[in-house]
Amino acid sequence: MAETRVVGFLCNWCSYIGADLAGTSRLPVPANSSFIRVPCSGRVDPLIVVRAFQSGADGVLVLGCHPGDCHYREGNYYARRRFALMHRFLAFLGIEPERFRLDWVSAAEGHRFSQITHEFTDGVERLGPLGLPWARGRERGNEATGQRGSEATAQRVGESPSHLETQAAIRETARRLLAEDRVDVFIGYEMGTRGTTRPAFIYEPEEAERLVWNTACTHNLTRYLRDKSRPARRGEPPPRIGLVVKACDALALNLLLHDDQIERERITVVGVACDGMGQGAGFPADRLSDEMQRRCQECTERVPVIYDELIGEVGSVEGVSRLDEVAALEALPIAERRAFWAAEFDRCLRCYACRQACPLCYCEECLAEQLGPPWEEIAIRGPENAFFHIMRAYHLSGRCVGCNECARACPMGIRLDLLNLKMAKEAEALFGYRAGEAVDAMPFLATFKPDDDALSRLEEPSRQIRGERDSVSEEGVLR
Amino acid sequence: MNATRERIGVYVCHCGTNIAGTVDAEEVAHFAADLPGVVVSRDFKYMCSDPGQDLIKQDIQELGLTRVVVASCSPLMHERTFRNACQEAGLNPFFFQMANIREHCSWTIKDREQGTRKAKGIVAAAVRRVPYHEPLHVEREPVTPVTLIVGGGIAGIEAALQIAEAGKQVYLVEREPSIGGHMAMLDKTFPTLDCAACILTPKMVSVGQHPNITLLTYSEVEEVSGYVGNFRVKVRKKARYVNEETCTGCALCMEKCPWKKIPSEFDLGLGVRPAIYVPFPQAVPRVPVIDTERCVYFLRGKCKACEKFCPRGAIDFEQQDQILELEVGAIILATGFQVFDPSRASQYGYGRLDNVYTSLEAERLCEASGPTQGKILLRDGREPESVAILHCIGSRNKNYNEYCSRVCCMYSLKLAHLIQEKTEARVYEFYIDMRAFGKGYEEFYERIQREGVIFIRGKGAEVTREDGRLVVLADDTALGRSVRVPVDMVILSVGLEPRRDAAEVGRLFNVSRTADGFFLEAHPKLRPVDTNVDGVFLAGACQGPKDIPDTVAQGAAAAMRAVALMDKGWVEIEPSVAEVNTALCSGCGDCIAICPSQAIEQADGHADVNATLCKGCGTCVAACRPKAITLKHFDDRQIVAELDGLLGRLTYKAPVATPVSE
Repeated sequence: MAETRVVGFLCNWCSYIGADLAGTSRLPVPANSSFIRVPCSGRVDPLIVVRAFQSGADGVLVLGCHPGDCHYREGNYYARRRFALMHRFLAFLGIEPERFRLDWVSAAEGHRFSQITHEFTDGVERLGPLGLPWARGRERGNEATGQRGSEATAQRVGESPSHLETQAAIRETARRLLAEDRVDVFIGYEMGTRGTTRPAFIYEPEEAERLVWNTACTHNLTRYLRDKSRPARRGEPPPRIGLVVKACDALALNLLLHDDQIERERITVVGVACDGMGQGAGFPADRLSDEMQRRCQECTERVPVIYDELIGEVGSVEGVSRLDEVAALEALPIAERRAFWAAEFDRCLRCYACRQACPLCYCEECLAEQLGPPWEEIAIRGPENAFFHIMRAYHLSGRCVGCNECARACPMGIRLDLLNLKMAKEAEALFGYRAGEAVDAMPFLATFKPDDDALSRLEEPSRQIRGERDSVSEEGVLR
Repeated sequence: MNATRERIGVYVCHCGTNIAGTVDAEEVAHFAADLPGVVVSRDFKYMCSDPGQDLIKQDIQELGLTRVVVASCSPLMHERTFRNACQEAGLNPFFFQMANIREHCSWTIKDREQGTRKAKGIVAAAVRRVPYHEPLHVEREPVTPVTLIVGGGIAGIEAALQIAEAGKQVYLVEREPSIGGHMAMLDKTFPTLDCAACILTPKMVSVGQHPNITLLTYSEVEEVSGYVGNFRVKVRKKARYVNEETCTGCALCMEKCPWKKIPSEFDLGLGVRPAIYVPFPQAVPRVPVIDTERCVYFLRGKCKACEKFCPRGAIDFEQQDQILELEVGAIILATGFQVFDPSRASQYGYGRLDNVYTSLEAERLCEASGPTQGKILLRDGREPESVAILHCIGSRNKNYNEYCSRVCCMYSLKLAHLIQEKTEARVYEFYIDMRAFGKGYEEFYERIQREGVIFIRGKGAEVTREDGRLVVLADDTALGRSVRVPVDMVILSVGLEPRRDAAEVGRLFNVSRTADGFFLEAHPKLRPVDTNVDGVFLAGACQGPKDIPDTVAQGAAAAMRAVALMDKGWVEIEPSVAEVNTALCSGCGDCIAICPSQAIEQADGHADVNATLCKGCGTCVAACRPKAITLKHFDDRQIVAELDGLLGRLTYKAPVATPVSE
């Protein structure tokens, strides 16, 4: 069997010194493990761990100071949260949990370092080489089966005359806001070519007649807030914006407000009580189906969490959980999960439609397009595609509001929604965090608790080691 | 940057046989010669030697090297050495990278083939990384010429006096109302039998009077920030309810206080004190404190006897805790130890059987100003006819502390001597091994043997009560049988432990601890008073069990380290700090929330790093989605290049044999 390779990241102040001590004390450390010195476990971007797996590591260790002992006080607490999430996410993508470990080794724990590296490497050796389909150096996924998740139960969109009522109300509201000079531009929906519905930017009251409301008004219009907030000319005040938001879109508003990306007082939010959007929205009208989109089937809130004016009535509806599909995927054997995602990533064209549709993908320059750091190459193939989607899912953890525009915009039908849902599911399970529910909610990766619950599962291996030591001491009374 | 344009020199050290024993250094050098960018690759017996360093300097100048990789020991050992060598040859010191093939490779592997293979990977990683290095410049910051010493035992006292004598300012912070620590509680000291108070109190008085020492007793450090040369420390000075300026220490208040039966902490509960008290007669400062939990006025709202009788009007019931903010350049931790609590080992009957004492309690009984005025008495007031001293209580025992507490053998001998001097009692010593390793210690042991103390080689296993007497059970390993020795009094020679709050104190100052809980020195042999935090030094038993001579020596050594730092007057600031590319920053503010050093601010819609506050942890870098923040010397390109090097992947084009997997 080919030799497995383990890479570890050691913090400069505890674990690196602990590793040195293991050496000085001539304790064995597996020959197939090598280590990289970093200032702090908080420096280790989980994406570097992804990169390590892609570069051929069969196991990755991140070791830092014990919680509470961080040289920088808090770095390891952030690392703990990030990796609690990433660990579970990697398993979802088909990388066995035993291939990653975050643990703590103090400067005095040479023995512990030796023990952890052996334990971990043994675990990785039992699994054998990773054979990641989207590792670098592999052009295409090999055993991809292209298996898809189970089809969700379809629900019929009601063809209610209320759509026309809502449409009239939106037009009236837009006209009024523009006429009263309360907004400079109103963002809503209009009919495009070949019967599509598309975003509309209305500058004059009389243009409000163009606005429509139907089951194809799927686009998350908050996506345009940042762009439209820029003043037309330097020195001018930024424009005031009115826009139509659905319940799902509104969560993104909260996140954008939290991140200081938009100014609340310049925005007039026209909430619309939504009955759900049809499948095929965004495409020519003949492809629009009467069936609701998956996310709308799940949706329980008709009314946005944030609005200045509301069109329609407050109320909630019964939804079905989309997490069923995530659970179905989680239940698959790890190899099948790996194959599933390899096939998904393989289809990607890297058109970045997913990113463009996303209201929270607002970086000035996406990491995917930055030259220089050897993160990703501009190439449309498995490893690069996989890295892009993992990066995007990780960067959107705690930000994705589930509006699903990315998956809808994807011309290849890649199940991006499942990546985001998995992240959201773990964020809620680990940290009780739901994106966009409140403006002042701290993103869960930008905060920590010294006794984070996420710790419990991650720290199990350490307890084993302490346990072993304790069991020795029970009989070791000196006589 | 095109990486292959760099001219890299690789130097593989044999370190005698330390590396060459399990790593074929010559082969590693051959391997490195073929790596992209490498123009010279050599192996040498000792790279850190002068000829080794000269090799590097010569190659930089003659071959025009732009990058240097040395494969040798841990960077914590010699990174500085080789950086300096580069600098002396005119190369920016940060164009150097160290590959640790000793601690992380040769010392952990027995198989030469495996060792060589692993070393190749480590060297390849460094060679891949080093082209991405950028020139950095070390800035200097002035040092505040003031030292904070935490703990006013003999270690802190010695350090404070040494620094003050060198003409530097000292803040000495002590939690208790008086300095003196454990040494003030001892009667005589081994092996000379000097009276502890006689040699300690002059030093305590000097501390109290020295113009360069600001004594902050009854005070605790609450917050520490900053870095070497420029620490900011918050100290809570607890209210004494007695004005330190006006009090003359006449002790009239103590005499007049109606509440006199409070167990004295200083006498370990064997004696009593009033509610307003100084812990012991020679206390420094001799300013009483009011115990608000026992004072009648604080409990019931009336009394004020002390206030009435104080001739100086020094009593101030309105006094409040004060928070002092100190700026210091160096910190010495001298927080000391606590003794093992023998009630954890219930077989010895401590707390359950009368007349079972700890050794520290026995010290109090021996001392003339102690609760019995120096008489060795049983609880019923009789003099004991026989005393057993049990060694290694809580020490050398995997159930409690595995280590040897170093002082117990000797103080046990001293106690035996004192008891025989003060009483007619027959004294038994139950020991595992007699550890009399210091100057004059073995001679002292022999003297005590001559004085007729009975030595039983075997650890006391249990203490029981039979017919009103205590009985010590032990296995006499010299005779090979168990013994039962009836005695009147048992003294448990308790070991030394880290203080209960050592973990919190460690965190406060960012100092690591060893597995046994004592503070960790930077190097067990070569840097015994430094910690891993620059500018924080250790003195005394907070670093490990120590006797008085060693403690005093370490106190003076720590003082020297602090004075050296202040005399130099400046510190180098690590240039490895975070930097924002404002063109990429979208101003989401996550980094601001995350930064543990509060070094990032929002400016003009994007993040802005204050380089003086930044400590270079890189937590913000990992959090930044568009990678607008980079950490100098640990940026993504460098780390990923190193990663790919370890895993035998190319980050730039050149044919290279796969180093790790064959």
